[in-house]
Amino acid sequence: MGERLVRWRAEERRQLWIAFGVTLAAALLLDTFVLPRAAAAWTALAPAPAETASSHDDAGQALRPPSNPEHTAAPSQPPARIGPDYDDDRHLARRARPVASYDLAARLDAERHTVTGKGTIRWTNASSEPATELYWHLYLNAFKNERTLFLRSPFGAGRTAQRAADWGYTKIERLVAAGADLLPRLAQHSPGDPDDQTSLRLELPAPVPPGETLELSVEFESKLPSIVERTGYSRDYHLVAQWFPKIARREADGTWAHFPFHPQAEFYADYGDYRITLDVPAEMVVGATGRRVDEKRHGARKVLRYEIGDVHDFAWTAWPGFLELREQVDGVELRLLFPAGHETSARTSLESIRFALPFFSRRFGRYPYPMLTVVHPPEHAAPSGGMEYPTLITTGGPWYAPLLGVRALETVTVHELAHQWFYGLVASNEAAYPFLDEGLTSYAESLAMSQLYGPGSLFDGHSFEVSEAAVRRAVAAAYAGAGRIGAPAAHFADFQELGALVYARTATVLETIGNVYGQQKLLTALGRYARRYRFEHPGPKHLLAAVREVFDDHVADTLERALFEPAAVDFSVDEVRSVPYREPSGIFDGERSTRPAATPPRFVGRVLVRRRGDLRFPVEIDLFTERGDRLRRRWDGRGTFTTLDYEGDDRLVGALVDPERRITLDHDLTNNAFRSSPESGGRILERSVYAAYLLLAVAGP
Amino acid sequence: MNPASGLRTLLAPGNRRAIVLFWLCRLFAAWLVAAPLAAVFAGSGIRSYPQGDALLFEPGSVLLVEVVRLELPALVGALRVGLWIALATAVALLFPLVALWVSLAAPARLGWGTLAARSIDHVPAFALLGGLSLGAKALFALVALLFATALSGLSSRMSEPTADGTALALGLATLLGMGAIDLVFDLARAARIRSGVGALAALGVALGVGRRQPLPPALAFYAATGASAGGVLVTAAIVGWLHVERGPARFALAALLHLAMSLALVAVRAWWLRRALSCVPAPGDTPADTVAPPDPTPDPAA
Repeated sequence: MGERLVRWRAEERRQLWIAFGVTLAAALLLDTFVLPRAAAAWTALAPAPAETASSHDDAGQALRPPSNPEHTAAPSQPPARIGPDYDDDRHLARRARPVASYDLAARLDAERHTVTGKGTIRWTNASSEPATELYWHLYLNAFKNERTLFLRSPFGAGRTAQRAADWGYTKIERLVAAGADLLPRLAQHSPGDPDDQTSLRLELPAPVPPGETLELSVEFESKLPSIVERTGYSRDYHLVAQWFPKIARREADGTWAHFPFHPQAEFYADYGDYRITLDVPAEMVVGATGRRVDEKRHGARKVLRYEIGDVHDFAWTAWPGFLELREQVDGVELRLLFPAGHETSARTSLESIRFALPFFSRRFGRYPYPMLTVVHPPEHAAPSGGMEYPTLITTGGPWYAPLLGVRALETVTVHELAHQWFYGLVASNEAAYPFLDEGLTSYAESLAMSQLYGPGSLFDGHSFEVSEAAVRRAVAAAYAGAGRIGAPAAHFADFQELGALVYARTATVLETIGNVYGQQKLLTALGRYARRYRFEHPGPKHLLAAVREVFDDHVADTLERALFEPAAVDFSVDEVRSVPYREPSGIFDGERSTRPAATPPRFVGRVLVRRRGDLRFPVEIDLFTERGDRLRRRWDGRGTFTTLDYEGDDRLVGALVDPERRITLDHDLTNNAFRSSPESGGRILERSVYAAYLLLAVAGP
Repeated sequence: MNPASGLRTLLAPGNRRAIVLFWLCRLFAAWLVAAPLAAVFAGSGIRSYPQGDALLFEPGSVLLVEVVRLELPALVGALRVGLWIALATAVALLFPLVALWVSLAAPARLGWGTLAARSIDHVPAFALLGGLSLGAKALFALVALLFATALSGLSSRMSEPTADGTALALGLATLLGMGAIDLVFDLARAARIRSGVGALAALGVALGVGRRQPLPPALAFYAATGASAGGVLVTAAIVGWLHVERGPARFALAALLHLAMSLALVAVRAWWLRRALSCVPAPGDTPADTVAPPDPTPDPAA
């Protein structure tokens, strides 16, 4: 054979070298370009935690709004006891107190993507102090230029990391109260941030006493940006949100909760009544917050009138391409708007809502509005998907996702629906405490998804199932100790960190508390919180008080620590030892104490279990013997470790901490078990070899 | 070719030996490729659980996601090493593959020495054909990508399902096109085996066959490819249904199924290679006379 090799002609040798060169080049391309990108994609799924708490505090300083001494989110009064009255809907608030009500007429220019509006705003001073000033949010000014807080980052720090390709703004053109022109008194007011015009201050000509109402006549023009996250246009599709001058919320003690629009933050406003008239091109299909009470055609345009009370925002969409599906679900008129070809998507969303609407109503109080609009944006406007407004939510995703077993559409539908409670009906400050809306919503979503779809709640591919809880838990664990869940939205390094801590980690903390101390009790606490503070603006104290009331101080303190400290927990089995028993030997003073000859165990052993991190939970530990017996022990979690002594007739071979995986907050699940002789790992080897075989069959010779 | 006699010829002792040899070599190569990745999973601590690595297959995938999260850098490293090993083994697998071709072309069982000697003769040409095939497929994929990019402007005027359906159709057409490249290069290999011509000349013969009688080889090739893909999918479905996490017997059955499928893949490929040999002319054949694949050199050891 060697002789044959030597006899290869020069031409054959050249052929061999060319073949080798081509193959090597292909391999290098794969190794240099494809693999690193694949790794980066995985890394994005499960990012590494930030290095230290101090580096976290410094991160994103340029993007952070300056501290605002006037901004207090949580009322200073300790929350009163809620009590079992709120375990059902009997004492549920029927109406919100209208504080900021808007009666506006808006006209959409679909070519210029502008909305011109005029009307009346009635604002009541619901605080205990006279109001000498009025603060406004003009959120669309975030897209006015690149000096705004929102667009200052060259990297795009928002949730889609996407920048607007076209500018947007809101310009107040007229502002009159009691015949006085107030426009000259209006000044931009983002403290320490003169280039940002998303927060404005109006100096009132005369104080508004507590309980009194101020009526303002307003005219404005809003230019929508190209779709960027929660609002804007794409071709002839319009999602018109944050489109009108909005009065900031004044807390009960007279302080204003106003803030510039930060790319990681959302909104905060008072409840009120909305009467909105929309003038749009006649071919537009419109979906909006509230109930449509009138529709008239005027040539090439149509005018629609919407009314609703007890909400704190109004959003609408207009697109000629929407198809429509309607159904009554739990007494609510559900309207789904979706592009052609998305019939399966619409039915999938409908199926999720059929389950989730009564599910959430039962747990967090009845859904009070007679309508709900679900908008599935077209693919070119995908960044406007996944957003919540009162009685209007947006979903999204490719039409074929449900066919592939990917449950992204179901997840986003259930998530945005849950926001109707934790954002819509319990209007916490989203900028100051985003976990109160996003975190509680994520927990509610996870609960509903796991009940509805089981272990395949994120992906169901025949026999391969991935649960939403598995991925959420991993994302939360990746950011253990990286920062505080309870921080204001602007204080997170980026949206990835906010997503991991506020969404995933809050849900995982609550899931762990439910698993360890009782899920029914946790739902009772959340139910009381949601019902008691319906149409109100609670803060973290109110949530903690509800938990303290239903559980005890330890559970509430654990929750508080998990939310407001970069606290984590990691249980591990570090050692399992087992040796044959023998009588003690040595020199004894007096009579040697020995066991009766009939009862000595054959083996003694010791198991060492550690708890790392600042969070403490009681935990079960299973001990395994050589014959396969399982002995259960319990550790209250006090201290940083515990040792479990063992005596028995069988050798101790392994231990497993938290066998039911109740503590989903556990930082590392792979160190929870210890076995003196680990299992062979044959399944994964076999599956890997078969996969490699198929790879060689496809790409090999 | 009569299917029954074709199968008999395919399963003749000499061919059986070559098929099993190639299967075992590829299986060994797969083990080499997979070993680093499997070692990372095995070293993750998962084996210390009472259920062992069955947890990686449990519904919900909690532990699978956890291991991927914690071992991501090691997994990427292992994947990288695995792909380099795959490259090396793909080159090494040329030898048993050529032996399979030679065996299929021989009218009678060849001795080990003859088989090895004849195989060695064809390795350089096969290596060049393999490299050219890879380059042709890369070029074809690039052209398809450029075509898709040019078409993407049109997709804005289509509904989403139409646009996605068009993209899917384009993807399938690209796969079929790449299959056609494989088909031509397999015919070239057959020509090399039958007539001993150089790689480029063999490619010329294959293109000639493709021009004159494209249907019979195309039908056979796509039938074999389709049967293989179908077999893999059915096996995956059965193995998924078995739930290997539920007990060692189920795992053993799944492993057996995978072994059987991997052997079947080689057998189906051998069936196609034999058809390819029958499609190309031997020296002195008229273009139409391409049914029986005689071996160009007699085997003195047989």
